[in-house]
Amino acid sequence: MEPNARFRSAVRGFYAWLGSLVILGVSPVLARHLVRSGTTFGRVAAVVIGVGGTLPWMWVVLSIIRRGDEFVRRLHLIAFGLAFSGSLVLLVTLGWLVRADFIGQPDLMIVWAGCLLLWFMAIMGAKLYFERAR
Amino acid sequence: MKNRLRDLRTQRGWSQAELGVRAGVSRQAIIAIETERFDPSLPLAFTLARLFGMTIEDIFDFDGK
Repeated sequence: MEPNARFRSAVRGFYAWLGSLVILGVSPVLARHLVRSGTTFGRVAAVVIGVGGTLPWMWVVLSIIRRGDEFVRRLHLIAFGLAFSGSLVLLVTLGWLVRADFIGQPDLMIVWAGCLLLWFMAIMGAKLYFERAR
Repeated sequence: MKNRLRDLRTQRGWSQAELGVRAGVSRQAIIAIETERFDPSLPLAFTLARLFGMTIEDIFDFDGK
């Protein structure tokens, strides 16, 4: 790909990422509002909007990784592995803390945000590892 | 894997970004190869070798690991 075409593609990707982030941020607010309506239709719409709001962002992230070179794919593969392991440890820890009556049922939105944070940290960790000289 | 990529690149006065554009990969990929944290695929190794007019063995030292 030519540098100009690559730049245009990167700009398009950035705006797609930004747009999907806005949807990701707005959809839970809208979904919460619909849940409060209490009607069956409202609750169904809340689930659809709440879940649907995450899909554009995931699609953009996956397409950015797919369009990346072999190094970007390797980096994200390692980050996904680390984030998955970290999320598993987080969920198991929370599960046992709840079973042992140390904490109450955690809000799943916070767990979800924790998994996202772990993923971000895994990407940063993998990036640091590859850029640090031996 | 040990390699001479940084030396060869600086000899030609190329930046990491410039080499990345010539090889069709990101600057991060070049950084990772130069720091010897990432071994390129065979097609990328051939591309890099052709860019410098050398063989893969001239750039990458498999025995040195």
